[in-house]
Amino acid sequence: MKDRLKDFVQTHRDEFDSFTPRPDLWQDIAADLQTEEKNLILPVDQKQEAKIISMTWHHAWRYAAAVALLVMVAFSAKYYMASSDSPGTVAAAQPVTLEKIAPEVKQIETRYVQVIEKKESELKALGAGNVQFAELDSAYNALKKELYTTPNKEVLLQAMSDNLKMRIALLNQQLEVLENRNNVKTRARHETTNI
Amino acid sequence: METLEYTDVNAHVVARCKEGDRKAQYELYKLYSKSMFNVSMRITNDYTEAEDVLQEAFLSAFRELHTFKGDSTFGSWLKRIVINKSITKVRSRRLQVVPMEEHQDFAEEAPDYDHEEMEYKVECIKKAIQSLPDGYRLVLTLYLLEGYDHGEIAEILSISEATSKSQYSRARKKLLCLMKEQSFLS
Repeated sequence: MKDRLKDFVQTHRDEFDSFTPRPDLWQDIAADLQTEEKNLILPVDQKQEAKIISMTWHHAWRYAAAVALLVMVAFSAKYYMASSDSPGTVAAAQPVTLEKIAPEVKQIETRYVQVIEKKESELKALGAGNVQFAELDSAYNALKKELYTTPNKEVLLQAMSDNLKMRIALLNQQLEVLENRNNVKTRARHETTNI
Repeated sequence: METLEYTDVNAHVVARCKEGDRKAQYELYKLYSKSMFNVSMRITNDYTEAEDVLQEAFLSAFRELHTFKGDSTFGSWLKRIVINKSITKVRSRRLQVVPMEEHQDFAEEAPDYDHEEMEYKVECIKKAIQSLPDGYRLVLTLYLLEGYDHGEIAEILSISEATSKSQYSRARKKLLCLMKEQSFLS
């Protein structure tokens, strides 16, 4: 059934909204909202806490964006350094020291070098010449150079400390051999004097 | 398509309201206060009550905004709040809804005034709506002006769809009758 009345009302819909609320009604609503918010936040600590958490979640994307940006910058810096053909210009633009790249190297070196020097002086006392670690030395230096360009710092540092440990092991072997020899010698001397 | 765009336009203002942004809340108030006030005016038929409804509706809308999931527009969500609060006002005022059958005899006996020659005037219809009894006015304005179908009206008023349909046709007859009377008087 065609509803003429409905059609007419529909075409003149806007004219039916002729009343206007008093202009200061919003002030009342705003005042009520204000008191409601105060009541919500002030008396119960838990509610305030809940609000803080929700705010944090709401702003989480900002932190995520900041972290992403940092990661991007770090990666691009690394890539730039790795792909750069002229390390001289890089060094000039940005003085890269080993301490900056891997501060652990210094710790490792001081720790092991002390032990190595002690062993070497013990060996000297036993009458042996300086032990030459030519191959180990060159390997170590190569590793150290690689530190400037590698993204895989941990593996390199492990290899470097292994290198140093190997020297200590070798020195220990040497010491053992010398001590054994000396023992044999002194025993032989004792034996000869006893006879 | 238009509805989708409409939702998107308000979506970020609604989001700001959820954070308690007073300016955004005022934006929504400016946008909807007039139409919502008129919705309430038509149902309550009382200026002061309509203002109370408007205030309560906006307050509870902002308070319950987290329950608004955006599956309808903010406007239609708010309108349902306004309508529900207005109906509560009418019902508490009368202590009970005007029995819908009260005017049945009249409606059935009344002649159909809706002839082609009858000329409608907005002012005339508005006046006639204001003189309708509460029960009739509710169904009539929900259907004619707020754009709900009988299924939705049935849900809003907790009545059956058939009742909504018959109530509307009776209210419509009564309205035309009132308009005829007015034109005689003027």
